[in-house]
Amino acid sequence: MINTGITYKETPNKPEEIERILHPIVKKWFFSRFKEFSLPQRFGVMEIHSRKNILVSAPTGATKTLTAFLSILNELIDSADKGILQDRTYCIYVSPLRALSNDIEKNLVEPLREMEAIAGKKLGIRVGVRTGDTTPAEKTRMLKKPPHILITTPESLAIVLSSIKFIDHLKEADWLIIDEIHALAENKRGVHLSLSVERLHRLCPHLTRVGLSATVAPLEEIAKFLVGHEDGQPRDCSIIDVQFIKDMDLQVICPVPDLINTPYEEAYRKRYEIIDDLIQQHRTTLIFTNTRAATERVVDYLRNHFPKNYTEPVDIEDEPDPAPAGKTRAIGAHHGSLSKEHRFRIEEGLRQGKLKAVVTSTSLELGIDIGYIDLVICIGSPKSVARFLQRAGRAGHRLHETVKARIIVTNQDDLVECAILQKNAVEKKIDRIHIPKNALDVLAQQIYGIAIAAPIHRDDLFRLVTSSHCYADLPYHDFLEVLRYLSGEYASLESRHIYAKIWVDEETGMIGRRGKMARVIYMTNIGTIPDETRVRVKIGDRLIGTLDEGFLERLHRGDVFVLGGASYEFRFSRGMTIQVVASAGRPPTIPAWFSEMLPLSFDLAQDIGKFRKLMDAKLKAEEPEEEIVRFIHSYLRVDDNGAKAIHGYFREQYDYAKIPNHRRIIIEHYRDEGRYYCIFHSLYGRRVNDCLSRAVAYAFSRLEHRDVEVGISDNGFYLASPKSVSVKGAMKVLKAEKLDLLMEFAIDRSEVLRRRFRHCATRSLMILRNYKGRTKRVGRQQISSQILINALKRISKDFSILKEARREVLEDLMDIDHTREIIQAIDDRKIQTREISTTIPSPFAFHLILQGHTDLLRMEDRMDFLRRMHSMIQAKISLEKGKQKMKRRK
Amino acid sequence: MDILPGLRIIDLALYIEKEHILVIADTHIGYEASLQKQGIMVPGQQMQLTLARLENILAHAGTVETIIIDGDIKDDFSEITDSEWRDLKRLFEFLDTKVNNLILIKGNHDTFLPPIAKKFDVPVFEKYEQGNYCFMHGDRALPTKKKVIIIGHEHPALTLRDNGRKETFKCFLKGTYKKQNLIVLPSFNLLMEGQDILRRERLSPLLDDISDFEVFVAGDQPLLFGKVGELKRRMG
Repeated sequence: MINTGITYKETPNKPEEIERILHPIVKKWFFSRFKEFSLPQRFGVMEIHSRKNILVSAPTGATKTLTAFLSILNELIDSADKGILQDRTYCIYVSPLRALSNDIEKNLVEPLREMEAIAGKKLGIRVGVRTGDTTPAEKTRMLKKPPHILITTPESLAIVLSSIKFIDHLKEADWLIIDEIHALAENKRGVHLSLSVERLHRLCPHLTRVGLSATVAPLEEIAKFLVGHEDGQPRDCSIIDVQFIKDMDLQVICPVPDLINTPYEEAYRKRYEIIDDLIQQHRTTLIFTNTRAATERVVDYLRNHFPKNYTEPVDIEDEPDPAPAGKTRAIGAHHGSLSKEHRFRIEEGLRQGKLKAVVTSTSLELGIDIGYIDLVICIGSPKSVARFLQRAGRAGHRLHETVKARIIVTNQDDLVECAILQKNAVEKKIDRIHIPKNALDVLAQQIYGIAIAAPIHRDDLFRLVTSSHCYADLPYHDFLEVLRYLSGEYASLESRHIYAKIWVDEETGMIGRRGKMARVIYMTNIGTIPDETRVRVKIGDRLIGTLDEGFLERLHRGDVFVLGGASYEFRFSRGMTIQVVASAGRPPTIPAWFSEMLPLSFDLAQDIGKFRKLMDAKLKAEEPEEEIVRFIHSYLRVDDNGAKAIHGYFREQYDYAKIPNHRRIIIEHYRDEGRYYCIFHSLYGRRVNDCLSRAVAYAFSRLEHRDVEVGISDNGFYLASPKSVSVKGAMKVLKAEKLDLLMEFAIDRSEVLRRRFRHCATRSLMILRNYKGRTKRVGRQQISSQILINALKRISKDFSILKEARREVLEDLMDIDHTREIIQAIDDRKIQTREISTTIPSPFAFHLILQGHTDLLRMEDRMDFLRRMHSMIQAKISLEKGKQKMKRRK
Repeated sequence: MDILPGLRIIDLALYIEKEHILVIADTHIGYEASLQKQGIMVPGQQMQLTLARLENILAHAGTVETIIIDGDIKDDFSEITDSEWRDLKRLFEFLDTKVNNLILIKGNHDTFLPPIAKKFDVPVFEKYEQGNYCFMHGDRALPTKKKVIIIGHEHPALTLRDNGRKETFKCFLKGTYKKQNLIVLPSFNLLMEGQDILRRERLSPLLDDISDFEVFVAGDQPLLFGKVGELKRRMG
């Protein structure tokens, strides 16, 4: 066979071709349910039938799942009808979602039932679900009678692959379907899955892979992620791109014409009036916010201010006869912090049309069927075009319905961002996702699993690993480093037996598992999703809610934060509980949403930069206002309010300071009550700014021998200090080729590295969550991350887990690659830097300073930190003593 | 820095000049093994680090005739493992080359210490008195008439938080018990971070209200941070 690599399938098959291959039962069933083949089906069914790998990218509700299953059901029915159906698994379907039963019932079990009815006999095709919730009894049953179609999650697939008995049933599997592949490719769950798939492929060399994806880019990368590599080349895959088959009705809404001078309360009220109007004009509305806290705020506001329009969704499932479609007034929230039961009730309510509106953060972005939605509202920017289209795709969840979505903007920066986002969505410019590469922690976990299944030769193992797209260019020495870790080489010879997870026979090159407990340890500690530690928030004995543990570290006595819609003042913490008092009316000193903030995509940020450049040219050319507003109208397709607000915003920035763009970083100096700020207008998204700001700050603090505080946002970052900040020197020493080394130092003692290290150590199984029958809660682990880091550093600075923690911080959390490009471009003068001074922050700097306040870091080492804290506390104490003396004298 | 006249803090140890005594506490040898039992596979380095650190402390102290380990020499209550046996042997042999006397105070973790000590011919005491000083572990209040009581057991440390950064430093505490001076030593175990004195309950019956206790942080130079009560008001 000639290797053709990744190709696009440009023309669909003729319906007759597909009809010809369908078994009469399947054909009859299909046309009893549908009038004709959908476009994805006309593209995909024949490919799967002829065992070709395909990636289908289509919006939600575009019959993707049936496209994947139609050929497969067809073959199973054919075999069953002929009586040659074997007792083995033919198809494995992997989905990132655990609660699948509803979708599977609808897409598989029900069709099979109907086909049996048409056939007039039992066909005996079994569908089995295996997830973390599957009981041992069900597993045993599956072992005896394997399901013909196995439905599973990435984690359970890895477990199945290490179960010697079950593997036998998989050996001749024909198809693998990966659903929601776009959501997996961008994180370590997907990396983990990519290795499982290669393990599966080793078992069944004839496996055909089918990937189902929502709107995403670049499709070639996702295709490679799906099919992997062989002999240094991507395996064949044809891409079916039907991302834009639905009509789209998208609109950005700016609630008021002047976002700057309209009082906050008024803008807020206006925003909700618009939201209420929209909800009332539609049958069922799905509202996306960007944080969990905001989700609750929106529900609360609507219920309190429009009590006639909204009720709580209490007992929706008990309602004897559901309100007629569109007449219900129930509104509810759906997000990750809410209980499983609550979320399930909301999903059920949506499916049954018992809810008028649901407000969610990210939890309803993915897959599961949520019934009829005729409008999606996003409050604030979804931060990437792909995410916006995924959210919007929840509306009109049927093939021929129009997608209708509205973005309500919250401030000027948001307005510009959303307008460009919408423009790109309409112009089909999707921003690219980042696929993590060479993750050594996931690799360690999977190698352990492979060794548990059977001994393997080192060369075979390396070939298997590098056939995954996520490890295609894995350096051999990194691979060896992971083997060294797993074989316990870091421990002294006499205690190695405790640490070693595998043995490596240097003479034969063979690798195998070590220890009687290996299988149990592996099965109970598998996975890549870090445990989130939540601390309980209480007033006395009354539980208010929970907070992320990382958030606790930011709190000082007296800090005010918002939880579940109310403000609380932090008193003290004890163990995993913090005590607070209600603090009505005081504005929060710390926003609770910091860690959840979605980063603006780099591609979208670039396009905002380009728009800024266009606007700058128009203002410079002194074009008349109406002309510019008209331009904004046609270029960005925003409403009247929006075009005017954007014009006003740029005009103010232009008159007062300078307009930065993607090719020109404005560095703005200003002073506020004895604090010096140096603001970088570097609109590249917070993943780049996180990295760039730390690099500049680190270079600065090394040169000047003093600390500097850093605040970051999507639109830029600032350095702040009690003394004036000159960054000329720092910018000069910043070199693209030295960035890696610089950043290694810059993040060395950061809180973010410590947290990520702990996750990496857990994925690498150096820290076991479940061991000898004990489940460990993260908060109870007795050893600090820093001490563990120090211990590993003593062994080697590049110990695989340390190296991975740094990689994850720099490449996945931050974006060091694009940062390097930008630094290079500054060096090559392709990006200019211009310094200006202002007396009050320029309009573009305003939100940057407001939002940037949330992340501050200092560059000093541990002992400098100690000394500074010491003098700070001494100063406070002597000040107070002085005051007391004065009082006594009086 | 002197915590009391003639009592000098050197790193995590306390040197009593007049008596030629160096005292440390809570070495918790074998702690790595207990971590392993909990599923945390930290590589064993503890002993090597401990010896290096002791060597450095001895180099900075004056004449040392006696070294006292003020309780919880080993970590595990329930057994003596091979590696603990090996580590204790290394420690005792090392100290044997450095000083004339080694004195062990029994801690609550030291159920199995007596047979080991016997094997190496090291004396073990519930409490030990010399000059003005009384050494006990601190898990129980043992009677003494000495002016200065020195205990371990608490693993005191001070957690400093600033703008999202958090660092924990081991510290000494100085206060009073009845009318005697009381000094609490930090843990000498380098894998243990210590317990934040501002946020954690006291363990020892010798410590009741510690708000008047002074905090000496063991940095590269000891630093007096003031009283616990004041620190709590400012940073708790």
